[in-house]
Amino acid sequence: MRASPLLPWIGLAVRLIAAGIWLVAGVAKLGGLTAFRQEVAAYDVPPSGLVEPIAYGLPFIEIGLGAYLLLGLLVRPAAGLSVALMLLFIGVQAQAWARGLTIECGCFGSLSRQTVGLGSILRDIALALPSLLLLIWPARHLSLDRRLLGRSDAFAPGGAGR
Amino acid sequence: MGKALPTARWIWLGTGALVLVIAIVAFVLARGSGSSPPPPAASPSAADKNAPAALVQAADAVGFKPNTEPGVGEIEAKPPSAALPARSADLLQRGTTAPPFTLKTPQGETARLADFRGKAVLLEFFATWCPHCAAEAPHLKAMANSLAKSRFAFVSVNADSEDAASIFAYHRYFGLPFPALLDPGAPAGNFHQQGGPGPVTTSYGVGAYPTFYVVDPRGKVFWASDGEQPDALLRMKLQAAASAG
Repeated sequence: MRASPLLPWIGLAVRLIAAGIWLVAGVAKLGGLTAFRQEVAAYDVPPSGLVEPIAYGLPFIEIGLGAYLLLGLLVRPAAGLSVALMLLFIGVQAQAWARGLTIECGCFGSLSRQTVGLGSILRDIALALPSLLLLIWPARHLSLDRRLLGRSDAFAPGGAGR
Repeated sequence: MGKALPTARWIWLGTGALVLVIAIVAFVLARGSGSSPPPPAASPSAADKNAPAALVQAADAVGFKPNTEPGVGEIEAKPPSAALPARSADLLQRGTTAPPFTLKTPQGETARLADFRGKAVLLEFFATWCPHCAAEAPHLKAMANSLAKSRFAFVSVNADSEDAASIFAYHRYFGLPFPALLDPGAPAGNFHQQGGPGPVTTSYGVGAYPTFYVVDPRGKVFWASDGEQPDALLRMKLQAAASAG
């Protein structure tokens, strides 16, 4: 069976979607760092000394992840970190939901004021899917991984995705 | 492969450097957000800029400068569980109808609690000389600016019968985006002299500055406490009140 020539472009689209999610989430948080700090603290999970470093560091990590995925740099490690972060977010929201806390998710800063609950958890599961796909099949069409490191595109016909 | 390996090493080194820079930026921002020293004067709201000249002159004569003391302004950044128990035993219980009021701003505009029906309201009782209130002010400003005005409202009521000039000076200094209301009682107070509680302050059982109430969209008391509060707790209570209503 011949692989479709469209597959690399589909892989690229998946990568850009994953990149877009992180870039939007990170930039939106940067627009309201004080509010995001309050939202992180409201989860009542991190020790108080870690609330501010998390709140002020996470948006930059998200933007960095988005940039790496956008450029196709270290696609598989970036996708792995994406999935790990999403699992962390899902876990933290699940415990808040289980404790009956009525708090804002804080996931997309002022762009979305969703309250933590089943809806926000399902949304994050859906948002983790593109990164999960990239972790399994790193899409490297039009990527720096391919250009600089000679890595193959898992979505390309015959691509091993190493 | 032999050519790619050094490039890969450089990329990983660059990534490590990037992570280090992010860690440093986060650390610097976290340190910079410490709120112990009072903040510098903020840009006044449009309403305060257009205040009557007589009020502006009187406020200038007050010589307002936020008071501070050791330990003030620290709990705001902590998680909700860091909150201390309320000191006043007279605070209204949850489910009580919040006493209605009609009060005036320093500019003479009328504000009623009923104006905010349908929204979760954070009601703060404050004094302009109170260091805990001054520490809270920039946090409340940031919170008010970050929450949807269609669902949430913030109102401050002066709790020790201070004059319009003192309250205006305080409101202008912090650039508060919500009203600070006069609740005149006896004896009259000002920034330099504590006054007695006004009738609205008394009806809410205020015994410490600041005192906070979260009133749900139906006008019932949802939560109350006094003293400085973690931002996250106030935010959480407002969210819960808005959802409950």
